[in-house]
Amino acid sequence: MPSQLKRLRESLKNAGVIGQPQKSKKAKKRARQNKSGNDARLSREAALESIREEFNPFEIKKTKEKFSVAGGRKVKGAVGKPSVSKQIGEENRRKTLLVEMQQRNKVGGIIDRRFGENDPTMNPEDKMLERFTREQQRKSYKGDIFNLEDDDEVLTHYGQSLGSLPNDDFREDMDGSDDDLLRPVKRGHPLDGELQSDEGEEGGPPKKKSKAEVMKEVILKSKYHKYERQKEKEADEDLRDELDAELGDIRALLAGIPARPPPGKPVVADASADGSLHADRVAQINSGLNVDSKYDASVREMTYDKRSKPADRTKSAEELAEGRAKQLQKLEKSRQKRMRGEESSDEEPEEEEEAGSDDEFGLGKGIKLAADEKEFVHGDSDSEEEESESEEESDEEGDNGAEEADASGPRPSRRRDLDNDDAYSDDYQSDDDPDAIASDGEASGSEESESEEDDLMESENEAPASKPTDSGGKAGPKGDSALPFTFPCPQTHQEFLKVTAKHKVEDLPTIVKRIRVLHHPSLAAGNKEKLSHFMLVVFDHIIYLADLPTIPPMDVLEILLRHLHSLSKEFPQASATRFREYLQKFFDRIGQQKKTKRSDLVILTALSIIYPTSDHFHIVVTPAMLVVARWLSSNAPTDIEKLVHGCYMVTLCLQYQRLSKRVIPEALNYVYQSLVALSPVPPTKVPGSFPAHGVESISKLRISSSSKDKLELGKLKFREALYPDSISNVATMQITLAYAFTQQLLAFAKLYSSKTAFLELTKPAASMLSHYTSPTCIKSLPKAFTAYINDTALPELERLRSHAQKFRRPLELHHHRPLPIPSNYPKFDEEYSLDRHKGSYDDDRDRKELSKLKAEHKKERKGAMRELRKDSQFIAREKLKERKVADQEYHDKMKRIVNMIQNEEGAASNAYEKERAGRKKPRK
Amino acid sequence: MAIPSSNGPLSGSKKRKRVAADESTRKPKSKPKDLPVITKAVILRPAPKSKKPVEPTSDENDEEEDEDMASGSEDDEDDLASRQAEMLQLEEDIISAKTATARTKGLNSLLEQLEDESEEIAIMTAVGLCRTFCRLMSRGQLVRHKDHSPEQLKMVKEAKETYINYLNGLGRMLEGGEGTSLKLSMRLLKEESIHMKPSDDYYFPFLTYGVIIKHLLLSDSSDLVTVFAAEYIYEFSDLRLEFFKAIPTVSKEIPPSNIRYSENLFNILYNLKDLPSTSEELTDLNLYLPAPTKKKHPLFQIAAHQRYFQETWLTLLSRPLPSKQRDILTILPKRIIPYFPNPRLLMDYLTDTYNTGGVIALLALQGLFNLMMSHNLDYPNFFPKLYALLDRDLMHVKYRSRFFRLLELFLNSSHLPAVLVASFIKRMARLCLAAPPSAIVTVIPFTYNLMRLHPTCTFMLHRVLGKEVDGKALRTEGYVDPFDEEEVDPLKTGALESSLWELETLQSHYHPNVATLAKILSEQFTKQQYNMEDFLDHSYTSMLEAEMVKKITKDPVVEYIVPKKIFGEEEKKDDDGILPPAQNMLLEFWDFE
Repeated sequence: MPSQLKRLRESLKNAGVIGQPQKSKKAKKRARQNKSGNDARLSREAALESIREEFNPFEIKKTKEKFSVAGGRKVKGAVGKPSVSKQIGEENRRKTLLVEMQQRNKVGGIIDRRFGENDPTMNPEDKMLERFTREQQRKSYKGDIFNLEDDDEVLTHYGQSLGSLPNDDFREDMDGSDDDLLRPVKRGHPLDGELQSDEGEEGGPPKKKSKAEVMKEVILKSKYHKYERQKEKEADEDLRDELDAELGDIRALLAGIPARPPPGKPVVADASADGSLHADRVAQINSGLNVDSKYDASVREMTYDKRSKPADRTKSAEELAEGRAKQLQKLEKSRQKRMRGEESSDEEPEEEEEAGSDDEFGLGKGIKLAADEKEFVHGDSDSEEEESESEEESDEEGDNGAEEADASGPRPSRRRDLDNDDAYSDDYQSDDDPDAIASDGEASGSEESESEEDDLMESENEAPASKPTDSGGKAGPKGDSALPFTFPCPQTHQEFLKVTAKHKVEDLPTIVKRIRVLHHPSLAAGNKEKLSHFMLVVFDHIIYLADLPTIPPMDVLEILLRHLHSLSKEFPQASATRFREYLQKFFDRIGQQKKTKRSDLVILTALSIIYPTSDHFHIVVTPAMLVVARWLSSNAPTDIEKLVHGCYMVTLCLQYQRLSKRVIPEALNYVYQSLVALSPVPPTKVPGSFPAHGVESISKLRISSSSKDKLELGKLKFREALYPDSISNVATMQITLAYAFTQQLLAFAKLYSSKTAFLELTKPAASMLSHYTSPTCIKSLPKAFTAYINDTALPELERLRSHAQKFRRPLELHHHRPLPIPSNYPKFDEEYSLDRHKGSYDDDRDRKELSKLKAEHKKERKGAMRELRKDSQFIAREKLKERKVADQEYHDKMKRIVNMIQNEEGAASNAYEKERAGRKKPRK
Repeated sequence: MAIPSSNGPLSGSKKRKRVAADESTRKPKSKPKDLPVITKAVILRPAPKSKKPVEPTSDENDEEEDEDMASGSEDDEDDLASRQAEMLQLEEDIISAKTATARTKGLNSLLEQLEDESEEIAIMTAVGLCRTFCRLMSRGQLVRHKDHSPEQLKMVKEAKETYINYLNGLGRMLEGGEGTSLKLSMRLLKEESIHMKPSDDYYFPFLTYGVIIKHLLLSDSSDLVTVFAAEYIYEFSDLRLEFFKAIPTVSKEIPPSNIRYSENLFNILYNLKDLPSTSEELTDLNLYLPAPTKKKHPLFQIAAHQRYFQETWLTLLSRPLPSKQRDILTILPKRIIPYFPNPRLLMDYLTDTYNTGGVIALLALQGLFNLMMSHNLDYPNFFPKLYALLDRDLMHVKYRSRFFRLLELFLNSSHLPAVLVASFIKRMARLCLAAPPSAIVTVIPFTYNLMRLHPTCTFMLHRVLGKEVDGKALRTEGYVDPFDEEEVDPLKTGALESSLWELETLQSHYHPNVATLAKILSEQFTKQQYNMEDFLDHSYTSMLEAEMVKKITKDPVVEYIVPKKIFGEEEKKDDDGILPPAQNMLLEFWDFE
């Protein structure tokens, strides 16, 4: 730090008080011009004053630091100028508080807002000038908006001034007598770039024209055009007739190309144009006017028609197969994604928001998890979900694209027109059968699509008749002939029953199909809703058929199921809702220990086909799985009927999990329980840890030795097993069931062979099977069955088990990056400063905010208190001052009075003395 | 006679019901209605002879009340009326009889009539006898007095004998489920307490009460027992206390094999609620008999109430009652143990039930735990027995959540050996392989918590085999699970060396939520503890409900391909073998044609 003296000199130099000021001559000159000598002296005084103040040690107050602390800490208030700040405060108060004080208890008053009135430094001329400009400004602001006169801006449309645009309109008004019909064509469409009117270009450069000029121009122009047209009209007339005559041929050409109008185009126009071709001609003769307008309309529309594209090349068989394979692969890929639970399942994003951390595992009420567990619940983070969703979307788009690309010819989308006669078949093929998608094509793929003719809608009389061996096969065509071709779309099951009452069961597929064709959503507005109701009807009818005491023809049921499937695809939400309702009811029935119906089994089967059961979560399948599991766990195999139902349920479990291979403890339990219940001799100790529910002590289901005869092992017959009247031989049934359960056991074993707990899962299976082959059991079992167990089941199971044992390793689930030990030593901060408040290093943001706020509040409070205190001091001081003044005045007054009195007194005494001396004198 | 006999049982039962149910409420307010009957009865009865030297003024009232009661049985039929008149005459004779023989003779004839086949008459006689004895009692003719003459003494003695016989007769009627007899006997009880006190202060006729209780509890009609319990035992504190007092002695006379008796006793005790628990509650009691004057009477001592309560329960528990054991164990912790002055006496019972195993043991566990916690019960082999409770049915019983709550408590100590905890974990995991999802959902967070508490157990989730393992053997035979399922002692199962493959497998459980929950075991253990309460009470119903609550917002995915055949084999086409169709499991096992 330079010495005090040096610093003084420096500052004096800077202020230009001493030394040679290094200024250019110009600057000097300017400076001299600017200020008179007096001014210069004044500024010099001011500069000196400030320098003096700066260097006055008594003006500055310093707090001495006792120890200097590391970290370069700045202590607030170490240096201060108390007198200056006091002065400032005093000034401020004098400006505000004092004024207030003086105006207290006073009401009203006039505030002088005249410019410069209280500024004594201004000349009156300047004042007046300034006042005048202000007044002018105020005036001009107000009037500006509404002043039309001096408006330089011009309203424009498409960059042209509006003044030039309405020319056409004016012209139209002018020559109202004009009967020229061609004019609209000439005028063209406002958006048609090529036909943009020349007038526009003419008026392009924004040249100012008066109104009269414009009008004149317009009139001239219209007259010119009129002449022009009249001249052309005659010339065109002949040509036009000629063209009209040839129009039919042109149309024929256009129609020959299988171009379809673009989507969204009104249907009527085309149809009318199409249909009334000859009528057109007639009308033309009768009244040229009408026809021409029609013709114009159609021509105009034709300009919008897409150029017909060349049809796609017919695909070769390899290409078709390839496309189809691609499609299938895509489907499989998305399925696998869903199976892993990667795809965003329904409503998850919303749910996460609304449910918060309440129900993360989705286990129902009362389950709570911290927010950081969210990822467990859905397996993904949001971003992934979104990503996959978009992926899915793009997949779908891709699908559509592929569809369109695959199909030969311009591929009809679903919302295309109806003018095409073979729309239905096309549509349904695309809906129902990927084969059809690939091999579709009206012209080329016909052979193929015929060869794999199984499409629901395509095959008119194929459904029941496809099996000529069937009893319904013969009835099919006959029934068809008797069947009416139109049916109302039944909205309730009762209506449907009424409709179908007269017809045979075998005709059902035809009826359903005709209803669907007749009420296709594209045919009428309300059809979509009608069909979605009809889907529920089909659903109900399936239940109805399944619950009939006699078995309906299986292929009818099957076709109904397939109809349900394709309808479900059209109305996924409605069908899912219906399925869920049904599941809830079924679940309640299980709870009430009611009998299981055949329809329950059929609906669950339908569900396994209609919905992808391998999904990690599915709005329909997940509840269905729960329902099946509940059934299996609450219906112990205590009689033959339950065994049969249970066997079907276990089959369904296998069917549901055939791809995803998820573990269903209930199904395995059921198989074990059933095997225990069926075994000829109860096992000495029930193996495994499945709940026995006392089945080991039920003896009525045991396979007895009497049933040991020659027996063909076969599949369970739906017809026999589920229609109790037709159970002919209980003993045979038992064996068949045992066989089925053994097979299912094996199927489960194969399904779960990759599970780490495979050995534990199948341990009871091994012991049960070996129990079946023990000498006590073997004698009451038929040979074929024991042979099956000994030769196929047991070795297979053992093979799987030994394989699993061989590859068994201890779990190594926690190969995570080791969690850092929570460290509590202070985090080193490069920019750490003691000046920053401690609170600002807080990691907790809320707490940080809070402490900040608290500190601020404290500071403000202290400041306010200080201000108030100072205010009151100021007031006291001012009052004292006032009083002092008043007192002084009083004293002065008194003094004056006393003086005056004394003066008078003095004068009087003087006079008296004088008088007395005067009197004495004469005595002397 | 034909008409009344056919009518008899019906009207009798009707009356009985009315008597049983209505009498207590009817008495005070329904005088006007009964008035004509009373006058009739008064007319029928000859005027009382004024031979007796002193007739207490209260006698008249008593008689009136007697009539009131009697009015229930004397009704419409003339025949009955005439018999009634006869009986009334006989009663008068008995009361006015001066010799022992005359009186005994009269009483005996009435007693014989008590055995009458006709229920109607039997009841009437019982009522008459009750009236007679009440009057005798009120005249002091059932109590010996020092200034009695020998003849009088004999009269008293014989009257007493017949009185006891009469009581037994009433008891038999009670056993038959006769409602009126209950009424009568309770009335006699009251009379006795007033007129037959040996000294001036409070007297409870416990002998009579004992007889009543004994017969009542032997009765077939549970209705009567319920009525008795509801109207007397639960209502009046003194009756309840004396009931408790009487039970131990009465029970000694009944062989333990008598299930009827035990069940009746159980029913009374099971529904007994709001017992006093502090002495303050005993100040303003509802008493059947006039209250004792002494402040220190056992009736006002909480200790006495509790002691007799305890004895009664112990008596009941000492009798075999397998059908009700579940109920007893359910109410034991909340409604019995707190009122026991010495709950340790329940130890034997609880230990025995616990040792039986199964669901009963689950329930006994709670009681045992109470005793261990608050009464310093030392239970040897507790954990092996607890381990044994984890059996195949555990996951499927109704009391599962109750058990898991306790198990959480028991295993919550961090001082338990990790080996033991590992055994429990492994056992639970095994059971999970056959458990419903609701149980799995309980076990997984529980396992997680245990692992947090005993970090050694995480070896069951993560074990990297080191050099000590024979690599070659491992390659050929795989890792042999060291866990011994059959081992009873949880310290020796070797579970700690095993792995939780079971829980890992459950990560592919069919229920998506269970599967994701199971995944917490393979994630990093960042959470301190799961709150078990959230996972305990689930069922299929609650889980399905949780599913059904979800709304369909997006179109659910529907299988794209409509299969050509559902119930039959699809014809094979070999146009493309890229993706073989998933096999249809339905067709594997079922033939739909």
